[in-house]
Amino acid sequence: MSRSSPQRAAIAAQLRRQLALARAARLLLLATFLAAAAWAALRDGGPGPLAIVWVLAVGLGVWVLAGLHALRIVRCVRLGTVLMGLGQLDNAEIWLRRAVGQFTFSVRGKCLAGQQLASLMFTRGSYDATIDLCRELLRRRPGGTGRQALNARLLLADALLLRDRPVEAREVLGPVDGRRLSLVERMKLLPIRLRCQLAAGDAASAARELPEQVRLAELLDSAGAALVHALLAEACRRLGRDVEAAFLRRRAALYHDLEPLLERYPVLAPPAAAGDAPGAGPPGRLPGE
Amino acid sequence: MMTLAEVEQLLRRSQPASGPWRGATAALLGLSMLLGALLADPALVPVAPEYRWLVPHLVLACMAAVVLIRLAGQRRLAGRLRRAFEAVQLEDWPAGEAELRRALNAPVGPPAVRTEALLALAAVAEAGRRPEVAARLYEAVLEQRCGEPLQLHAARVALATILLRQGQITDAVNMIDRLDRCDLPEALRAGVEMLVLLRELTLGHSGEALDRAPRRRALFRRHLGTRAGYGYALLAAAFDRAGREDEARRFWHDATMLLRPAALTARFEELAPLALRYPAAERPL
Repeated sequence: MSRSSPQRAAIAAQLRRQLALARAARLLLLATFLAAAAWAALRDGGPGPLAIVWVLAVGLGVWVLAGLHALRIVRCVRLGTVLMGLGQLDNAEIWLRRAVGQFTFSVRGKCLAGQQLASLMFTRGSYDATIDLCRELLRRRPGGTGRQALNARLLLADALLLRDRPVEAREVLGPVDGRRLSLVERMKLLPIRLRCQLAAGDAASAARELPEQVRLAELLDSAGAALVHALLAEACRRLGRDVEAAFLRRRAALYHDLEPLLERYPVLAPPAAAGDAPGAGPPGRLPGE
Repeated sequence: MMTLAEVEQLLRRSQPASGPWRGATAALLGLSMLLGALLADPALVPVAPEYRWLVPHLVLACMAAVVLIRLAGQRRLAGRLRRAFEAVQLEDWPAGEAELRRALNAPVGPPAVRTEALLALAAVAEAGRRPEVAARLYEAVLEQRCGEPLQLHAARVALATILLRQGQITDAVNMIDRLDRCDLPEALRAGVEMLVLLRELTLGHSGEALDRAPRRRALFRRHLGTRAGYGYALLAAAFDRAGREDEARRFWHDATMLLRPAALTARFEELAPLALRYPAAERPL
């Protein structure tokens, strides 16, 4: 389901507004607290006996209340995520948009809501909406690669690739290069990076450290493993490494049917013809099936 | 290599203290009460009046220190567990065991996190051919029921597998029957089907295995990722026993495309004859 341009813009604008509001509210709160602490410390020319304690206690109380309020947002996001997992995308969108639209002091909570909403849009095939939301999430930290920023980056790069914008996708992944990633992050990054490299015609980079990449692919679920194997097979094919290409293609077919992958990822189109080669079908069919 | 006694110790030590007032919570409560008392009566602590204002600040600093120490501990534990889980996923068993031992040597707070660590330690024990240690860990997870439903399901499947391999057939069959009767989503059903297949092979009922082979193959392929290789190898064993060598050879080929024969026979000893009888797929990587 694709969204109209004004709809997309409205969702992204709402997220931008809410993020700006949360940041401003936090700054205001911090400034008030610092001013109160300074007043308490300096009044009558010296530290008030217990005034600073009161200021700190009130500050702590406000902080706790803000945290409790942020929990409501997190609860909405969690519910939206569960509904998304159950395939109830309409209900999930209601909860996630509620989480994006509600005021909170927690910028992190708001970003989490925005990211899940972007993820939902991606699941629905609204790649342009995903791109808008992820760009909003990365606006303040264009080079950020923290956990949330990295997830937004991966989602954005994936959506850009599906919109056939590989150059932008490569730019988005630029800050990730050289960063030490966890195993899960490397697993998420692998297929997206391979698609970027193949789309840019850089098969040599895609086929570098092949055994390590295959090892990582083996940890993915069936569809993910099939995609990575098919991408590596395509890289090997372009480099003329036919034995490895055939082996990887056969393995990809063992993991998952290749037709849906070929439809979804045009970068894999060349092996479609090769997919008819002997040994590229699904695992050993039984007689009479 | 872990012993049962060491595992019992880790189970005890990793158990979080019960009750709401424990550890840092008790310290924070005590400090808050002291702060409240100082606010009510600043002369409570016998110090010179000109330094009296300092006392509540010291109490506040102590409270901040308690919170920061607790956060640092949580971050250290999270990092250790992340490294442990990564090592276990990559089958770097010694590194995984070392990190898990360190992590479980002190209380591990959230129950689901502790359960995940215990399941990872059980996987390490299974890889190290210590099924009795792994079984104890799975039993502990199931007895304490402290995990999430998915974790408890994984523990049940793994424990039933060990019981079957150790010859505790009655217990194993009962557990597997219960699992087989459950209304499970397909992703979980795939793991259970592999266990049922292993039971059929162990008890010599490979005829049933052949009847359900197409459905099982599809399930394994869809949901087990690389672990589908184990399922294909077990299907190969079922066809081999039925004397249907062509199908057996084909499934063995598929199994060895995904997993090396050594990995297959290390996990299921009953596959060793197949490794000798049928050629493995060539792996150019």
